[in-house]
Amino acid sequence: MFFVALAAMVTKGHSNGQAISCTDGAYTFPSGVDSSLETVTTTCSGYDCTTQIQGKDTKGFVISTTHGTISTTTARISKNSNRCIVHKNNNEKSSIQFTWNPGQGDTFTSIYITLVSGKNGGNHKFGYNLRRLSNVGTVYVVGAGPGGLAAARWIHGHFPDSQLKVYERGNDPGASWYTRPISETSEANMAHNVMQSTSTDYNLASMVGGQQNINGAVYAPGTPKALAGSLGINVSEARYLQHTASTYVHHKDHMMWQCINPPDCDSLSFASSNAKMARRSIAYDLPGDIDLETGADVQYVNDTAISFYNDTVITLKEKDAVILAAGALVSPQLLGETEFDGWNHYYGFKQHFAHDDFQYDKQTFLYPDIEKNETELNIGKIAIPFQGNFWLEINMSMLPSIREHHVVGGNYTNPYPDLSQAWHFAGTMNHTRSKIHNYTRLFTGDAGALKTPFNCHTSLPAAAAGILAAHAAMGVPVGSLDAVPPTKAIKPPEPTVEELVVTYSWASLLAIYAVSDLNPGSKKKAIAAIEPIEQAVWGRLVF
Amino acid sequence: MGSSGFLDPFNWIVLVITVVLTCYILAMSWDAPKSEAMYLHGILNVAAFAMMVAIGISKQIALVMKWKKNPEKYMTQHKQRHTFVNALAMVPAYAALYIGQRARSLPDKLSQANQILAIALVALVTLNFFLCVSSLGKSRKLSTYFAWGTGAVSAASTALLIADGPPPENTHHYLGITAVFMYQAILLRFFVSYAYEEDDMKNAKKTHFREGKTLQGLAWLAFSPIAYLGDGARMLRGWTGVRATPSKSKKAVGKYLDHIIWGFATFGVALGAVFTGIALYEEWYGTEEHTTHLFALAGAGLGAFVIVPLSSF
Repeated sequence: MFFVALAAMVTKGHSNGQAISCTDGAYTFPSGVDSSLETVTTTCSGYDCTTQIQGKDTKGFVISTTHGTISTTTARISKNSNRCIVHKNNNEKSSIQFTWNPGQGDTFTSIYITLVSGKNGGNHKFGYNLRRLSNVGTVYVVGAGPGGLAAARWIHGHFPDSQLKVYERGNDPGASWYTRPISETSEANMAHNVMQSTSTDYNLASMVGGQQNINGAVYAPGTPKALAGSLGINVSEARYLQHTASTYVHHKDHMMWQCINPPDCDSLSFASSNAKMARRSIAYDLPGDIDLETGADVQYVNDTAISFYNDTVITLKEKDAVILAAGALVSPQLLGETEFDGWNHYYGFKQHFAHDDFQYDKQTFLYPDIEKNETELNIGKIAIPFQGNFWLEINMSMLPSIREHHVVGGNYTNPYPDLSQAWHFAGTMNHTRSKIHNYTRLFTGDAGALKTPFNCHTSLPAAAAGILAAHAAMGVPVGSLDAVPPTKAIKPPEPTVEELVVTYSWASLLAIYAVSDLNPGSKKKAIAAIEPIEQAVWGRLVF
Repeated sequence: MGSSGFLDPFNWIVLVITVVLTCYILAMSWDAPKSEAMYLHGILNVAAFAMMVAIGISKQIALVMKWKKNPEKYMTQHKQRHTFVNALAMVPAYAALYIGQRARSLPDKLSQANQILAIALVALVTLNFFLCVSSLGKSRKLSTYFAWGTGAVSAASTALLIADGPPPENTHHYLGITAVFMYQAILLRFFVSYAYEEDDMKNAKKTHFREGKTLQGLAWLAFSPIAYLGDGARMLRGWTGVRATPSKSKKAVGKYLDHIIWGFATFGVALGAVFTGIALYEEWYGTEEHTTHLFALAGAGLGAFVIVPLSSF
């Protein structure tokens, strides 16, 4: 597919690049290319980059930028108003240094690089490389939960040369967190009272991975439409965010876990009593070169500085940005708020020794309310010490109408006392497309950004909010740097071939009746002469 | 009114396709998640109303234009190209209602009464069909009783399916329920009519279902269950004491104004239900891919109003 696209962009090769037509926003390739690609590497520091073919000299090049202009000291011909440079001669060059010059208002660029090493049997030997540069200063991410890490992953993946710093109050749980049974990590380390309260409802995990590293491992991002409404974005953007978040965590059958010793697996038991599956989260397999500092307890953030409890203060520079991803209950406190409202989800449960209707071999999720999508039924097995194994049916109410009121130092009040709160704290931040109201460089990137409740488990929506915040902080339109992803909704997936067949098969009825009364006297309409309808004798109708 | 055959080769093919597809979709929906079952519900509704009923009405329009001065030819083709396909639409329409209500009720199951009525209806429709196409059904009261029973079970099953599920909550539900009962009224008229013709109970032709006066006919269609019960009672009494209610119109083509008005109204309400349903599907599940295909099928079906008249002359 990709090479088909490449073929469409092919241009002629030349000993100097005078006749080359640079393609804006895409690679420009020579005609007659060798089947084996050269390896092109590009390193950048700030706006200055060096590109070269691994182990070979470069004879020809085409380097184009989507924003701003490109300059170089290498002999070149500039095209497309200096957005593209091409070789002036085919002398051998060990490397090419070039500089991106952002234009007014440019926050980023994509630079497409094509290098040619020579010819092989008349075909050009070439390689290519894409480099993205940012005109934003340092992006600070406060909090390494699902939102903060999703933001960091996105920035690191798309702008590897950008300045990115992640602060996390807790520690890194280490690699064994993801190899031991998930039962050992379920609801572990929930000792940090985020509201400085005596209510244990406010006790949450404080570690790299956040609450997603100790929860029930349910993968439920909600529908794109629901997420779009909650974040104040359009459905296509929400679909992109969900798709991107889904690539950051291993998930299967609605769960974020992986079998420890296949095929000896257990997809049915809840996390709290499951000894055969290991946890997966956005923190798992985090790229090692993301600059993440643990034990960094941020106290206060505003447009000018980040202050830590240990009296460290980081002064923000003009182009810096901060993504608040410390969790829906902590992020408002970082802005100095001591009282705020938010959403939550609530659940009840039933235990059964046996249940005739439960014939499941994996945890099962049902959504009985198709009108409002208000309820989730999560059915699986659970082992209770000294009592044995039970079927457990968790009934989660996802669309509460009452917001919770949180006060720093105050007790937790459950507005639905007949149900238990689900630690799905959300909706505590005021923002527009992630930018926090009354601030110019602060962005909300956790579940606090979810303005309305919907049917989901909040870790993946928090990750989507983190990626949205990353886009906003980097000045990149949502989804503009990646190919449009396929639809990725938990329900339903794209129509299957079988569904399409049974859909369009009905059109055959129209085709049949379109030819049924064609004039049999016409040669062109001879198909109707199969059997004149007047001769049919079966059946009687008088209506 | 004759008893001309309606199962010409084209109708046989359509009958087979309709029954096979409906059964296959029903099987697909059996263990499907709710969202997928709802898509299948959508396919069947589009197929029934935006495809089959659209074909039936467009054929009727073409027939009126083509055979206005040849009533005999008109009646033959009217039964083959209008009545047959519109009655056959009952198969996907009923299956759509069943799948939809079954999915809406999840994780609960439909009541046992619903299951029994559904099976009874399928069995009776099948039995009626075989009686109709075979010589067994000719001049026998039994076929009339079966036909009346089928209509009664159809109405009861439809009513119970709607009553048994969660209550209606949005425009699609209200339009859908209205459409299904309007269609049910026409079906009752069909069931009470089609078997009597060659029976010895000739007075059946003069029941209110065969009225033809616009306003009175519409009223009787609106209260069709009552009329149907009345006909049932008269049938059991051997059609004694039936008042003759001759039609005002003596013409054969375009005679039953009540039926024409009711049919178009049903079609309009059903299309409203179909399109609000497709829009709801996208709203609930946030995906455009499925709805695009449903819109495409509906668009193709409505294309009958262009294709059928063009191909009929």
